[in-house]
This record gives sequence, C-alpha cells and structure tokens, in this order.
Amino acid sequence: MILDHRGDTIYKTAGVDAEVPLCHRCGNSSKKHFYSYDSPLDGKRVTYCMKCVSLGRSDSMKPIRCRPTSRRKSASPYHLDFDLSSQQAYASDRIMKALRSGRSLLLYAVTGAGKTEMTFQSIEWARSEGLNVAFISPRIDVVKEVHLRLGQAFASSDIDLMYDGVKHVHNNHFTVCTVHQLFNFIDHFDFIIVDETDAFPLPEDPILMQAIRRASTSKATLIFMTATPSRQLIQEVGEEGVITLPRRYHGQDLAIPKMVWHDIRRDLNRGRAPQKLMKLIRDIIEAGRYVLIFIPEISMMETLLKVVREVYPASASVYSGDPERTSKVEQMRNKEIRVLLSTTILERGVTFDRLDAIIVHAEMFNTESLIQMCGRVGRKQTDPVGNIWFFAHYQTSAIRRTFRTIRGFNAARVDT
Amino acid sequence: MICYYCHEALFAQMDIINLFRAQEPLCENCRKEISRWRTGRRCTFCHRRMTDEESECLDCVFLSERYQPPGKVTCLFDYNEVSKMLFHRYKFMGDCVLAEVIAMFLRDRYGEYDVITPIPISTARMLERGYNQTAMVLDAKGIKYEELLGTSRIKRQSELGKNARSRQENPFFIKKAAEIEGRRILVVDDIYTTGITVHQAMEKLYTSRPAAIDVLTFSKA
Repeated sequence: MILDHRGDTIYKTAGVDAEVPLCHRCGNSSKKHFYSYDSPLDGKRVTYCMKCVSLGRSDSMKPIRCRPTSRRKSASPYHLDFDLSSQQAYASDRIMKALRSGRSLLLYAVTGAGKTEMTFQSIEWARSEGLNVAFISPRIDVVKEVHLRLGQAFASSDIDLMYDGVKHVHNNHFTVCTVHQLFNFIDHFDFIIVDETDAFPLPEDPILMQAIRRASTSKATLIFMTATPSRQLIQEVGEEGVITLPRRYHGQDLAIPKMVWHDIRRDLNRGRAPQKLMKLIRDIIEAGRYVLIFIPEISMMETLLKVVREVYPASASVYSGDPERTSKVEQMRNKEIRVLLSTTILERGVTFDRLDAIIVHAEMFNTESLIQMCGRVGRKQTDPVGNIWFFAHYQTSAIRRTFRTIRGFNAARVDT
Repeated sequence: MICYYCHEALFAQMDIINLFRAQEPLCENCRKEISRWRTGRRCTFCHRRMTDEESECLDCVFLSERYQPPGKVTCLFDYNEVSKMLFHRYKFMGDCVLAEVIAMFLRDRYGEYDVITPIPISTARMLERGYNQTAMVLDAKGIKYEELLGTSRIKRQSELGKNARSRQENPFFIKKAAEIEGRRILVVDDIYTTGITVHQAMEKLYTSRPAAIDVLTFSKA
C-alpha cells in the first residue's frame, strides 16, 4: 500500500505510538529522535518523529492514511543508441535470471561500467509482467541523472520522480526516487534497483535498509549496484549473488592516480597560492581539458576558489547546500566553467567530457570516496582514460587501498 | 542527545563551564551555518542587504513614509539558505522542536522592556499549525510575554507581494490596551521581510501611547 495523506483508508489511527515510542511510517524507535511538547492549541501532549519529518510530520495526533497498491501490465519498450558490451550483456542476463527466480544480486561494477543500461532489459520485462519497479539511490544528484537517462531510454513510459520536495507522480508503477521516499510504501515494489548502495547515508542508517525491505514485497528482487561494496552487503546477498564487472563499458583501463606530496592547507593558511596545484591547473587548461577539484572541507574550498578565480575567472564551486548547484553542474557540462571545485557531493553520478580530476588532501577521504572520484574521469568513448592527481600531505591506508583496488580492476578479466 | 537541525549525534565534552548548564541541542557545524551572515552592504536600521544602486534602504524609506518606525530593529540570523530551511521546517512542516534551536540565540533577559509581545497568528493558521511560531520560541526560552494583539488576517503573508501587503487593511486589533500605555514594549516577529506586518502591528500599539517600541525578529529576509 502507499501512505498518502489524501488516501481514503486509515492505516494507523496515529502516526506515532508515544508509549513505545515508535513511528509507524519510518519505523524509527530510538527515543532521541522523538520530540514531545504540550500543544498550545488544546494542551494535549503531542509526540512526533523527527526522523521522517521532512516527508510531512508523523505525530501522535493525526492518523496515517493510505491507498492500496495496484499493478498494471504495460508494454515499456526501450531504445538504446548503442549495443551493450559483452560484459554489460552478461550482467543484464544475470539480472534477468535473478528477477525471474526472485533472488537478489550485488553488482560490483567499476565506475563507468554502464550500470544503468544493464537494468533496462529487466525493467522492460518487469513492467510487461505488471511488476512495480523502483530505481532508488541515496543521492539526489544520482536520482535526477538516472531519471533523465531512463526517461530518454523508455520514452513512451511514465516514470515517477520523487526526492526532497519534488514529486512528479503518475501511477507509482515505475518510480525513480531517493531511499527516504520509500517510507511511504509498504509491500509495493516487486523489483528494486539500488544504485550507489554504499553512498551516505545508506550504510550508516539501518532504518533506511529497513525501509527498502518494507517497501518491497516478500518475493521482490533487489539489485544492489556499487563500485565499493561493504563486507556486510556481500554477506547479505551471499558470494554467489555477487557479479563483478571489472571493465568500463568502453573496455579501457581505469586511470591510475598520480601522487603529489604537498600540504595545500598550509599554503592557503599563509595566504599564498599553492604553486604545484596552480601549475597543474594551467597545464590541464592549456591542454584544452576541464578539471574537477575535490576538496574535503567547504571552508577550504572557499579560500581556494578565491585563489583560483584570480587566475581563471571561469571557475566555480559546489557543495550540498548550494542553491545554484544544479545550474553550475549544467554550466560545467556546457563547457562554460573550466575549473569546478566540489566537495564529495559530485563524487558520484556525474559525467563530464574531457575531464581531469584533482583530489586535494586525499589523505582526508576514505577509499569509497577516492574510488568514486577517480571514476569521474574517462567516462566518454571519445576520451576513455583521463588523468587523476592526488595531492596529499601524507600517506594513508585509504590511499593505498584505492591504488590496490584500481590496479586489481585493471588486471582482472571479464568472467563471462 | 542529537542536533535538532541535522539529527546527528552530539558529543559534548564536559568541562567546568558547561557542567551545570543544559546541553545545547545544536551541533557546532549547524550553529556556524545558521549564524553565518551573507556579505554585502546592509541597511544600518533594518539590516536588509542593499543593492549597489541604493544610497539608503528603499524598504525603510517606503515604511517611514507610512508608519511611525520602531526605536530599533534587532535581528538574530540572516536569512541564508540554512536558516531559510530552518524556518521552512519550523513553520510549514511542523518541526516545532526547532523552537528550542531558535531560542538558543535569544538573550536570557530583556530587562529594558516592560512588556514583550509576539505577533499573533490567525485562528485558521493556529488550527493548521497548532502553535504560534513566535510565542513558542519565547516559551522555549522561558521569557514571559503578553498577547497584546489579535489578528483577523486570513491570507498567508508569504503568498503576497510587497505591494499587495501594503494595500491590505491593518488586520491587527488591540486586546489589552491597559498593558500598553506608558510601557516600553518589545514586539517579536519570526521573519522580517518587507517589515509591513511589524509596522502594522506597531501602528495599532502606538494608538495606546506606549513609552517606546523596539522590534526583535528572528530572521531578516
């Protein structure tokens, strides 16, 4: 069923059970995420759940309403401009088999393997069988990008899009949304694809995993896709449920990062430009390429932006709270911006042409982030390798593991 | 204990200063973000960000032609992206725990005033929201206040433009005239956008001859 405040059936007479306490919408039961106050309106004690308040408040006064789940078969043909690589075709078949047998899979695929396209065949089949399909991700940027790509491929289908305050809903049969949106679904989806499974906040928050399970039917197939799986996730699907895809769709090796030992923060704190970095940016721009610079902290990013902008006016910075985030990414795509500074927010789901990446203070990121950032370059057929530089003050195990993983991918053959 | 804004866990180091004090429900990072003031030239009276062409604040000029101004306008936060989200959640999503967050930024005492009064909200809004967003913050801080005014406003101010707001009839009326005469009054409002709401409220209060009126607003749009 679908929880909806306009629904005509009452699912629970109150959204929150104040005694336990328990939120019937998101399943939150940790005391510190509830807040109680005396209503100034009638003096009654009200308890509400802070965990899912962004979906509309669930409290101990108002009932939760719902609508029943419906299923409808619909022919959903898709169109692709290119043929799948042998590796993609193999994965696509495995997903198909998993869907037919109702098992779950973990797709351990290198960044830029073309994960989204591998699911098209199964989505088409699922929709023609009348199964409800959800493509979800913890990241809003990924959700938007995936919706765009699915919309182009499945041109004749109505695809719902939900994240944060945005809700474009047709009929809840084929949905692209953030994980949080699943709080409003119970036993609804038969086929759920989770992209970027390891991205914040999914691994840290057990309630979100619970939400995915609750939104799926008992026979549902779950496909987890990631370039950096956790041990826990591998255990969950079992060794035989893991498919490893070590090659990018164009078959080229991943670029190996180049290390530069330099303490950029020290330069910035002393009010001078980090010369090694500036020279590198100059070389990249003179080569007619574009550069994405990852920075661990917003405050450092702002200082660095001032320095970079003096030399290259066509530069900008983005972070999660930036209101112009979308438009800046769009400008970068249109090649109006040459140097883009970013926090980890752009580590996933974005593709730019002729891009090089620089990671500032690489010692401050974890392996998952580093691998994802390296995965931003060389995603186009026309520019399949690209360059990456790690600027670090000192060596860390995360940096070593990143090198090991990338070399491992490059050495591996496709197990078809 | 969690941060009421980002819901991350709070770990406070106990020391001699905070040992006997209640822990603040906001993490260091959110506190910094909420209290960040955007750069730019501001009006010295209402703290509005002015454009380069303005020699004096056009909003203040507009208001002073129509209303008697307050003694001063104090403002807790700038209306940056984070505080905008804070007020959206607090006012429209029912996340009323944020009253405690806003209350953190208030002073403990406002001894220079005889009466503190929040801007009232209409019955319709009260039924919908369940609380007066301004009074709730004062309650959270434990500040005593008097509801001197009532309102008959139906429409949301945030749905109207500046001209539509100024053309509206004054929706406020006085509930407790005896409390006003000769008193020093602090009028508290949540968000000061054009200033018309506060000035309309003051227009009514001035008719009962208070000694002085100042304005405190949580955020300045």
